[in-house]
Amino acid sequence: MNTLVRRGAFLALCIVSQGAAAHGSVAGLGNFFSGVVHPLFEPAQLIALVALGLLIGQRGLAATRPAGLSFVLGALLGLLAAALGTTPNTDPFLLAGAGLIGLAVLTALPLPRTVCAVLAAGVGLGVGLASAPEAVAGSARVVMLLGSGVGVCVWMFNVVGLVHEAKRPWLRLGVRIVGSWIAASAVLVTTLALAPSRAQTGPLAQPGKASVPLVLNVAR
Amino acid sequence: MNRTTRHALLALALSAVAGIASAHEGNGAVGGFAAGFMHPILGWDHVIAMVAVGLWGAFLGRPAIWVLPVVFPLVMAFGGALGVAGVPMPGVETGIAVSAIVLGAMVAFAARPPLWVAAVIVGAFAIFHGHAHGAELPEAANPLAYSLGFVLATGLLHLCGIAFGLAVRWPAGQIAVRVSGAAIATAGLAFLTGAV
Repeated sequence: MNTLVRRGAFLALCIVSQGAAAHGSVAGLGNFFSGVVHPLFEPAQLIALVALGLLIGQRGLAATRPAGLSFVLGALLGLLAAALGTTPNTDPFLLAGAGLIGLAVLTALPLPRTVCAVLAAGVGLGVGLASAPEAVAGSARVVMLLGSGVGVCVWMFNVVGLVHEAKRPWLRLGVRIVGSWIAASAVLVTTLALAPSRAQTGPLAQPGKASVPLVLNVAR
Repeated sequence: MNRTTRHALLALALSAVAGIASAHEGNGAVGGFAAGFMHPILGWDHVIAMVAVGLWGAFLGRPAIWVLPVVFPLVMAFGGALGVAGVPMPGVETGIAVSAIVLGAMVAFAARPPLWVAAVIVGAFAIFHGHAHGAELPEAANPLAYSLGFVLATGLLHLCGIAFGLAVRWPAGQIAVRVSGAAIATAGLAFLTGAV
């Protein structure tokens, strides 16, 4: 009886078990396109990219050309580091950046080109570093990272294009309101990351990855 | 087939069809977003207060029509941060019910205070709403997706209020909006007294 039940339970667990999908390739998409869609499934990356797209689109691509360039360079650098095996937890920094950029979009304050470029480079670097696929090695890893590189640029510049073409006053207002929503979400989740006792239950306290709360604890 | 084998097969069949336990507020990014999105919508006290903010903004016209719905989520985030940090805030539910009463009354009585006064009133109540949402945040499987969900839902509820509030440009619409404000204030009173 015991043996039969054990075998039955083992078989049942095999039937119901599902493949882990933590930063791996998406079934049916292949490695390259898994990398392309990767930022869409990572909320911290997604809101950082959207916030930056809103900022550049709001100010006009021509006025912020260095920002677009520094974003691409930052992303390339981050992806290169990720390919070499560097996988820090950049989510807290992406969230803090998204919060700042969201406030800049909301207030529509004129920012110097240099500041925009630095913010864009930071977001690019953070997203690139966070794109490192887990449990994927060799050429598949490189292909996924290439896909991620294409993806982060496509999604960010899509937002830039959409916002840039939004000329009507109510659409410009909508952009600022979305900026406020991003800032609000980022503030909340950054607070969660900075609350050490509670952050351990959240995704920002991933095992094996240094996060802001850990850094702060060490500093104290 | 003996009894033991039947039990084993039954256990196997039940195990195979059993769902996975969900201990958190939604699983993964999508589940977290859905849970966060539904949180304000499933609480009627939240819903009427959010709609009242939109109604009052539309009633006051520009720039209040967009300033109030922007002030609300930003200050709500501050209240949420207090909730996340575990800072106790007494009377959160009372504050939420009172927000519906006050904001509904502002619409019903067609109050037109200066913009900064309206912003302070809306912001003060947003802290209570934010605290209620923020207290749930650490339980969420994906806090960021959860927060995005409830901020977006809050914004859409404001939009509902604004859309209806735009009717104030017609005399009949103005009466309808003010009656809605009175209904919101009454509902808030019912929440405060525990009638609903």
